[in-house]
Amino acid sequence: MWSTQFVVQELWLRSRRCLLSALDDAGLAPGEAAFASYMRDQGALGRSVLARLGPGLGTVEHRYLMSERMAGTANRRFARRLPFGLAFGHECGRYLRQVAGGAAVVPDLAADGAALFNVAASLFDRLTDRASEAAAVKALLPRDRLARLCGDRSEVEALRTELGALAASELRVFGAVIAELFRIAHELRAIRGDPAAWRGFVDDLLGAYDAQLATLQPDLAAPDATAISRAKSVTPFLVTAQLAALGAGTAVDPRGLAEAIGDVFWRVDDLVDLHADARTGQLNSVQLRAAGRTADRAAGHAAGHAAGRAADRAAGHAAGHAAGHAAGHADDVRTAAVAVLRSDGVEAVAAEIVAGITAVAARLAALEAPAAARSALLAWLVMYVVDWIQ
Amino acid sequence: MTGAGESHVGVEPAVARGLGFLAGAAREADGLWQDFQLAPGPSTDWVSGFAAVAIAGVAPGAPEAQRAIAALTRRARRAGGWGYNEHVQIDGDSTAWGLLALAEGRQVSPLTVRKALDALVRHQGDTGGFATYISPDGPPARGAFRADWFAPQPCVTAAAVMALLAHGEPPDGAAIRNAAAFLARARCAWGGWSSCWWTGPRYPTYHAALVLGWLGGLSSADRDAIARATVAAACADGGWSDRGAELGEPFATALAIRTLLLGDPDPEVDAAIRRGVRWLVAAQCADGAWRSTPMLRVPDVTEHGIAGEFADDGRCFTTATVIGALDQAGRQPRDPDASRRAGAAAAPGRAAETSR
Repeated sequence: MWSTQFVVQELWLRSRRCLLSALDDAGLAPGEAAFASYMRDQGALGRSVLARLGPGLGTVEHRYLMSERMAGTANRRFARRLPFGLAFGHECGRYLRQVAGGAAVVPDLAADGAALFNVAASLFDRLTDRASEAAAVKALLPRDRLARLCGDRSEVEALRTELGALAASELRVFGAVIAELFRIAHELRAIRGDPAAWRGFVDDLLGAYDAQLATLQPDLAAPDATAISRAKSVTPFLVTAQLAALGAGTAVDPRGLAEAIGDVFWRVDDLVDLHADARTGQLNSVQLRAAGRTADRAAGHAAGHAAGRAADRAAGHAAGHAAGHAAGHADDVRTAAVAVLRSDGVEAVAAEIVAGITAVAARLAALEAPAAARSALLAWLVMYVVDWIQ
Repeated sequence: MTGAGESHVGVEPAVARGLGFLAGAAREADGLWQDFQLAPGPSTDWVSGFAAVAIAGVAPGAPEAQRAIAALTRRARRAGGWGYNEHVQIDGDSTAWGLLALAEGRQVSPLTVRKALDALVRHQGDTGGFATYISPDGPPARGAFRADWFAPQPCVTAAAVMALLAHGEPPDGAAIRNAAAFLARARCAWGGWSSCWWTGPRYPTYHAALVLGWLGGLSSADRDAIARATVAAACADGGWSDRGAELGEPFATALAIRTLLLGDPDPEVDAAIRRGVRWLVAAQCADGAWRSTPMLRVPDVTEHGIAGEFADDGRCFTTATVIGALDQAGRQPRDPDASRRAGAAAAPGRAAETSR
């Protein structure tokens, strides 16, 4: 019998091998040198964006963001990924703005806003993942405040003033990123004066906020947990598309394109996390597919799992829960991993990711956008898909 | 590399020269770094793990770090983990730094990681602290070593927690909670930490304060106490010494700066950081390295004749430590007015046509 370690290792390798093979078969896989060069440039871009936008957060917030205290136990990973997170959002916003048409605002505020939004979304995700921090985030940024920030530019300064009373913390950095994002968004609004684009931005931003919170408090009777999970992954790309539309100042709506991009990354997420999810017992659509679950059963599993976590947290037994996972679920891990390996779930998701990229390419081809912008967006998509599975 | 440190003059070129020195040293040693001439020979795996982590933090994706990580992956012991070098049994500290290096690598086999993690947790004692060695029976330990070698140490514990966290172990899991409790208990009266392996408190204090802070075990008052004591310990020339010297030493100065950077903004602390950074920039050798001073202490093992205090004769360990500190200082804005001015300058946008 193979040990659990070997089975999980095989899962890790297979998910990466399948996706890279599928990309290769479709003629989409970048060469090793080209990928390394692209990501090196992305890192440099992210660092320059950080140097340019960081001071706008405020001294205390900027310093904390760059410190070894930021993100606590995840500091090293956070620091390593921050430039890439900024570059990812920046380039997504820039290319969507380019394919939407229209001229850029200089500096490219849509791209800057998208860079900050990506970091804000990541911080929101991190902070709300812990019950204690989630309450503080919701207190700092309740839905009605988000709506007020959308409606009234003066709310940005009110938020900054409130942040000044907080101790230096990740929460304060998050608030500062939100404030700077809205300063930029209002700047774009003032320059472009496009009410339809602004309404779209507001609607999708509130939608992304709701989608994120929905994953924290899952409804036990939710008909489709998968849809909740998908919405959490896809809605941030819609917000980026709206920033791009604001920046482009044209009637071309890149929303459908952004949704297709979001779908790709949603699936990549599950594939990348497959071996880790097998180890920790997290919901993963590839596992569910392998287990032959229906959507309803999947929803029930997700809700039950999340409810269990919530109950544990409420009872203050998070540590016990984690220990229980470690000790009691070794057989479950093995069983789940073997089930995935015996199914064609990994291959199927890899094929869906490639199909998703092809769908993005088809949408791009249908747009009357400059060829350079279309190919740059497609290259960005493929490179980050490969980056995520590294 | 550094990004926001407009107030630290000369930091970026100094870091670049330091990286150049380390790259050259690795080329001379088949991609690994070597330092510390002790009885079993120079350290390779422990020093390379440490240096790779420092370089990856300063220059993400640097080929020197990636080559060392690949070499460490190949050199991992069959049962998991790493030792001081290939001739010495595995130890908790080398294994922790090896794991931390692997966390900076791409496409690292989870099996290698899992085995090393399993090896690492075997070094955790009942007190929650991690020891360097667990078995007095394996070579070269044959009963003549002092208990320090097998006793939990704050520096090893901090590195072990960092390694566990880097590979996804839950912060609220028993291993990490117990380690945090050990670190909290092990604090000295002045607020920092000491260790049998180091001549002074700078290395254990920085790492333990970093980790305990991550885990919520340090209050604002604790940070303040550590910062005040560190500032008070500065030498007259703006550097720090771990051996009571009148003039600063690069290794201790780098770690003191890094400790101060963990604190809340404070004019006195910020001034000490600026002085220390200036001192380090000025102290760089022509070849890009920083001079070494005895900092590694080997507790009494008279039978083997290796007791004493040792410098990293190759200067890789010191240089890796210094570039990490300078880079971290360079990332954090120190001048509120400069930061605000930069923010204001970046603020206005204007509509313009671009040449797409």
